[in-house]
Amino acid sequence: MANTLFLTSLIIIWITLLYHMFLMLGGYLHFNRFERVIPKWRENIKQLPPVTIMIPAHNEAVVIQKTLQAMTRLNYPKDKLQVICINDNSSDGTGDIAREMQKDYPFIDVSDTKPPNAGKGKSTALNEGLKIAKGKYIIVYDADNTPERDAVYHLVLGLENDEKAGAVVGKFRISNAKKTLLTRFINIETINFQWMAQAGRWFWFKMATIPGTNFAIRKSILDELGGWDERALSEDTELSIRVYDLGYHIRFFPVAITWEQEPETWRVWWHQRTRWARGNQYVIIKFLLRFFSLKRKFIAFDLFYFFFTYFLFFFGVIMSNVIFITNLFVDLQLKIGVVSLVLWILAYFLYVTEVFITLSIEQTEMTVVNFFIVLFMYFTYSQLWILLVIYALFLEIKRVIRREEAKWYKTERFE
Amino acid sequence: MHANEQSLLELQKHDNVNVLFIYTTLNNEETETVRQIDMLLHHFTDHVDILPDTVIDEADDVTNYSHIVYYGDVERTINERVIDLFEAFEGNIFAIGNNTKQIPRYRFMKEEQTVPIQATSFNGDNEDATSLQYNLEVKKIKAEDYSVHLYGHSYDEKIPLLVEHERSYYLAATTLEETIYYCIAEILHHFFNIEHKEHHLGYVLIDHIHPKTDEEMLYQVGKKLSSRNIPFMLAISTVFIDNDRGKTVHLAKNKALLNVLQQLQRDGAVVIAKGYVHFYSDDPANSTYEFWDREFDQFYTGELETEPFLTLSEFTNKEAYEQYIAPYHEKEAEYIRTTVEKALKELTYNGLFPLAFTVPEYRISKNGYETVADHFSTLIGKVQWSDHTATNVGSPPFMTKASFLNETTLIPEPLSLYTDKSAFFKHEIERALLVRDSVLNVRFPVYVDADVMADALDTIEAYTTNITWLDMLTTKQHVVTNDILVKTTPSGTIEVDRHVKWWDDLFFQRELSTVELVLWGITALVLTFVLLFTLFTLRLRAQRKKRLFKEQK
Repeated sequence: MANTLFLTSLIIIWITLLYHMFLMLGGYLHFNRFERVIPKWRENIKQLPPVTIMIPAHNEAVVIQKTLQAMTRLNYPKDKLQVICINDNSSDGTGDIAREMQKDYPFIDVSDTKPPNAGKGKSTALNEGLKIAKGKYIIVYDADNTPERDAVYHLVLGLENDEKAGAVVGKFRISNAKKTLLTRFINIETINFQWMAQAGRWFWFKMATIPGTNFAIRKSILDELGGWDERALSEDTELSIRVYDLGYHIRFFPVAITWEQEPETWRVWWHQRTRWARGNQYVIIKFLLRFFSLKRKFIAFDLFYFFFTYFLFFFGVIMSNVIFITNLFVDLQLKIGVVSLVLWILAYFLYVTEVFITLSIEQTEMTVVNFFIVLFMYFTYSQLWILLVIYALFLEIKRVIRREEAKWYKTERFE
Repeated sequence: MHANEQSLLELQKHDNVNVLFIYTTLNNEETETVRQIDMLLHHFTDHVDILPDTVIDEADDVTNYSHIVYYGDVERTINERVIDLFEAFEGNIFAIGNNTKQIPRYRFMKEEQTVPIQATSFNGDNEDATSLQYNLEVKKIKAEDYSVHLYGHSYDEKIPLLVEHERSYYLAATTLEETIYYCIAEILHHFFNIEHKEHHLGYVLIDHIHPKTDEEMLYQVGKKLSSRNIPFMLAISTVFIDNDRGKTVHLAKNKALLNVLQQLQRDGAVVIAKGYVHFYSDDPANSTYEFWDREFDQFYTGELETEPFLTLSEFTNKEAYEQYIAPYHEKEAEYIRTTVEKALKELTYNGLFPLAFTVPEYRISKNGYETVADHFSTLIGKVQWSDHTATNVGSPPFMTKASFLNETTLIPEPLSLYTDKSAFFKHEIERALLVRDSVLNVRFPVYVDADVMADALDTIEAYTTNITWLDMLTTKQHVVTNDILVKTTPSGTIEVDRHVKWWDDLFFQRELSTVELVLWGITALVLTFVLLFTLFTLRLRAQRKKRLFKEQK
């Protein structure tokens, strides 16, 4: 019994780890190649299309001005630009700040959400903005973002040159990375996520997940899909799957860069991550339940991956931990001896080397401090994820049992 | 003391002796007794033809035979051609059991009612009689003008059991109880007129050595034997499997034991491969035999059967049965071959060079013996007499070969495994001493105290000092597989030629399950990627300046 369980957990863990290893290889190869197309793409573009940037903002007074200022500095013809700040039920003067900016920059629109759609969350706000959007492409930025000057241009470059791309996803970087140990962790984590999971999946499967920010999508697709799923807590993952199901691919194009803030305190981080985890669990359940109605079965791969990450892998890790600890006190007669220990050590090295590659891709990140943080992170930050998934599962089950509606928790901003 | 083992082992070579052994059994089957006789005859010559009476026809040229042995297991009218043959034959005939009434040569005697006998003697003297293992029903012979070679003792009466009349020998028994068997062995020297010297071969075999053996006990026994200047052998099973807990231990894992074994071998001890695996179970009744299916008492193919094999009687003819059973026998042979090869691979890998084979628990089929014979020139131990059941194992008294052992030399085991002082051990010695050139052995498990082993030697030496202790190194032996050859040289050393592939050596000991193999495969793959990723990182670091420069441009 213990042997079977141990073996099962070992298999689950290693399927996931081997998949990541495979993705990392793809990510690295993508890094080596993604810029090659740019010169030709530039030449192809004769005229830039009109685009709409949507910035959903709920009580973002702390950051909204800086974000809108970044919009004004974009290298994109202003007559082709519509920036909609969707003021979603703010009580801190976010709308006023935005309207103040509007006076100097007429391409900025401010749209206030109205009941019953006010304060319902990001998806609802985005759908509100969509109603007045005029651009050929919709670009979304979170209210704490500072896109680089060429970010929007590069996103548009991708969509204009790649007909099959339903959406183009850029890269985000952390602006407050050195603020606290937590932001350092998050910085490493997000760099790794983007070069491994995003770039890797794009390279192998022409698939990436739309993040909450710094992406462009064809307006025609949003119209066809009826906008964002307002019940989804992670509206981005959910949208990705539907876009993909329409037959488009989602391009990861890391030359388009934005900078954003990340939580500086553990409390804020915990709430944000719980929302993501629950959101992804919702997406998995939603699409697994209607898997047979999906046109492109290849999505199964991605869904399966999410399923592994949020259910099976987590089960495997917990199971193997329990067995390992039990075995310290009671001899469980485990037959798989040395090799499991060797694999355990290798898992650590695999983790470390994967992170090192992605940090080295970014010019300034492979520092001595980060080197030690990575060594240390495996045993600390990464393990928190187990608790997080358990908590999220618990909340999600509770919600389903009580038939509650999903509640949006807005991430707190820092000055 | 150890001078003439070579001649002892090669004693039986008498080229002028050609024996035709004819038997009458149910379905012409090679019964236990047929095999027992086969084994005795090979002590005297390598030229033995064994045939059931029904297959002999006029085309068979019998003029080359110097001796005929006949065994009648069942009462039946025998092939006329055989009768004619006996009639025309001028040499010695040795008949055993039934059907002699049909042979004119045997009209000198009449068989009367059967009587049970309890003991036997050469001279008819009660004092000298050796008791039998069990009461044996034999036919009382009434005859004129004959000499008696063996008497049966039935309570107060003595009856002639083996008689001779003008070149015709007759034994009035159909089964060869062990004591009688040994007496026949002795009397056959007269029959063949081969007067072997009265001298015994002794050997010492330390049994039950496996990876869980206490090396200290082994060391003490070895020291004791060396101090008595007695060469000895080590019967080693390379793998230990605990049936109850499913744990497997290979010899290579027990370095301390391995050191002692290698040291003993350097000091002159001879390694004997005892199968491959020593199966252990808390309850000995549950332990398994390596080459015999204990549950159904039938030959073992390497996989436990869910039901017994069908028997001949369940088929309409012998051909149909043969067709049915042949694939199982092929599987059995393949299993035994791979097992033996694994044993040899692993022993030689560990620097232990076996010169002979001993069958675990003595249980194996004829097919198994034949497979073992492909690899070893010599077999040690008792023999399983039948292919239908493993109930009966026994041993001839002297060095011999046998057709059913595919001409492998057998170093017999007339004295059973010695674990403690017992009257039975003495009885066995006495019985063995009925034969002039019998083997006297001390085979004892390694877990028995060294003093107990010394007692066994003392007991034997109290009976006779006319004994040479066998040193196998001075005999001609070879052990062979596709990639291993171990043989003795005339100068008494061991020569080894080993070409086992390195990956075989790497993996055979681990006996990896598929799961473990896959996990090690993953390990190799991940290790490759970890190295690859490290290279990527280094490459990215190396390109850093170049990339910075490019961006500034």
